[in-house]
Amino acid sequence: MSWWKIALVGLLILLMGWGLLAAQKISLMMWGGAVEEKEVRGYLAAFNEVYPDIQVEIIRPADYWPKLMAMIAAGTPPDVFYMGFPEFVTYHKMGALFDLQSYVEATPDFNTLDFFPGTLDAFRDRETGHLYGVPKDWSTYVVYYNVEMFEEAGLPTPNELFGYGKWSWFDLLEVAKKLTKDIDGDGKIDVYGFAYNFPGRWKLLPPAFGAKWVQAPEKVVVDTPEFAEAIQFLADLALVHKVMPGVTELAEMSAPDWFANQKAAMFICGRWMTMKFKTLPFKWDIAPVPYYRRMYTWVDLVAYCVAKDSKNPDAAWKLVNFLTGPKGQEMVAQAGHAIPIRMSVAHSPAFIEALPELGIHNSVHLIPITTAPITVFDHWGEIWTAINRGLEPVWTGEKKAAEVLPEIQAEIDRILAEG
Amino acid sequence: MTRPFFFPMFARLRRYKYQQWFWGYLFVIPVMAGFFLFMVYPMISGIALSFYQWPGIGPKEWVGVANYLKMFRDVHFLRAVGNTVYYTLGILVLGVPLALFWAILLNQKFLKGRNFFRLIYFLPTVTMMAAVSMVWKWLLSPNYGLVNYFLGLVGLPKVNWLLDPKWAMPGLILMSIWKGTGFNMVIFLAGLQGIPKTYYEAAEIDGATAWHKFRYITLPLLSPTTFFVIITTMITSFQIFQQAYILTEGGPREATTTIVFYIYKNAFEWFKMGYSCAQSVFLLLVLILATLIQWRIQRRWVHYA
Repeated sequence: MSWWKIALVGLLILLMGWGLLAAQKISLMMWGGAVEEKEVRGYLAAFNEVYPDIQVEIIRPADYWPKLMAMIAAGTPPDVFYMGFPEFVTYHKMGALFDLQSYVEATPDFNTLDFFPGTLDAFRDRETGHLYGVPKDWSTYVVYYNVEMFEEAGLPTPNELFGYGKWSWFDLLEVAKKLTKDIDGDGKIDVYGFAYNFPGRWKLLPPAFGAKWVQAPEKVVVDTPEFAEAIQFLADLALVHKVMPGVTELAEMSAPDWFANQKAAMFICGRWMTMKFKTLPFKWDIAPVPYYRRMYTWVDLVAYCVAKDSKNPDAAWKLVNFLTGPKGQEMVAQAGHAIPIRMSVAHSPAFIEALPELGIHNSVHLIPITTAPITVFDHWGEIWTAINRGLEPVWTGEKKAAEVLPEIQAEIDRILAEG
Repeated sequence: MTRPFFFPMFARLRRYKYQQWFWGYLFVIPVMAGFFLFMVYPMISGIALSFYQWPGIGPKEWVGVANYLKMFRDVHFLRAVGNTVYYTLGILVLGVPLALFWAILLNQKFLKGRNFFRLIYFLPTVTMMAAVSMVWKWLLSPNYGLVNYFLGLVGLPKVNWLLDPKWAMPGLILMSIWKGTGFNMVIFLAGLQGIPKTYYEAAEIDGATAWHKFRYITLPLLSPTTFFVIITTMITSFQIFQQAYILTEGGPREATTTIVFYIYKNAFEWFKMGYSCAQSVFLLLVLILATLIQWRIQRRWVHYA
């Protein structure tokens, strides 16, 4: 090889190196499927129109939490990553997250007042009030219902019932009874009035029944009459009234599939199902979740956090600020499976027109935010496991809720006392 | 004679050139480096971590043997130990004899298409556990599952396999036997083929029945293989995780929460790294102890020809 060829190759390598140095590189770690990744790629393309010199690499591992922990522990964390509001408590306590307060204060158009009330507070330090994460989107649970089944049965829809002020959990039970059918008369129910992944998502009911079960991050009280009443009511929907698929039926077909296959007239879930249900061959709509002693719905909230050990927090902040800003949130609205975190976007046509077939009912998701405090407590994963495990005999009908709750309470107290 | 150009630079190497040990070490370096880096080093740091309270990131707090003491008061951990022992016994008592039975069957000369059947029985071993688990979720489905269908054909009642605390572990054992027996079968086959034919011929002349030949020739001469199969099966069974993670998530009612599943929960979901390390050390000690006991009693029944 002659000298000038070597010189040329060397020059090329130098030039490439220069190009790489000039472009800043940061990483964004996300969860979700290939569809979500495609959407995020779209967000990043818009981001690069504003910041062409910041390259963002997407990391989408199969096992998100172990991977995140391993990367942080190894000192090579992703610069920006998703963070659920419960996990935030743990990761913040471990000191893995970047204090974004100075960036927030240095960014005049950030406008904290534009965020839905309480959503920023979920990612603040409990003492200093500094912000350690910016919510990216959120979702409330709503009732999905099969409009055609309601029409066929000649029943008022959940939205109408809500309007009449007759939409308590007991009203839902009455409606569900009328919609539950054994079509071929073989003694087996073919269409249920209601389907719900209750063993994992019973959390929707106790507050509506008046149970104040999360009293403080270190005080979780489940052994109360209201909590027992809520859990027993939910279990009895399957066991006594038989208007909802029970544990065995759910093992054979998941709750959203019962609804999607027109084998259940109502179903409760967050916003993320809307995009999947969009292509269903029947007419459906959304309505508020029933109430009882209180109005309550579950709020799911995810934020972008920046790693404390990020090599390039400036670029990371630019990304977070863009994605949670008006432009980024409009794209969230169009993607359709979550609610924009900024009120200016959520209350604009961008969100309402994302799913035109739902029309004004898109705003059903926005109704309960002022009455739904975000639930967080310490030892999150372990306590959920303890409650879910303890409730198993209630779902199968072997025990009553009131019987198992004292045992569960003892277990919770033990976990919290360990500190 | 031309030599590779680097030899003059390393005169000592030239002397080693014909020494086998040098090349031997050279070739095992990659494996040993990997072994020390990815096995020995994590093992030692795991043992060290078991004496700390540590959420996985950030400062560690020395707690002495507190994690070990806590372990024996933790009902969930003790249940996990019980479940793991149940599973291991199930695999050893049902799976190992079955592997031997298949091996003997597929070693018969008169059987047509032996190699085809050997392939069929071995296939599950090389199939991914995640895929196998998804298929078995359907096979074990209470109303539409094939397993219950066959039970129904022979007049047995339906079993709520993965949802009934009594039946979830048998379900896992059933699946694991299907998945893992092919591997043991191949090892037994190799062992069977190592037994000289002359013994059988001599026995036949003396009028031995098939049972006699099996009991007094096959079993004793196969015992080193059986010993190997039992030890390795025991060790892998004690580490059962994937089936419980994918198929049952440790439920129902902790019926399939195994030691490694509980370790995973503690480490990656509950951020109790130190405590989970202590459990790993416990598992290691149990395995070492069980293996030592096996080595002890092997003298009574293992015959090296």
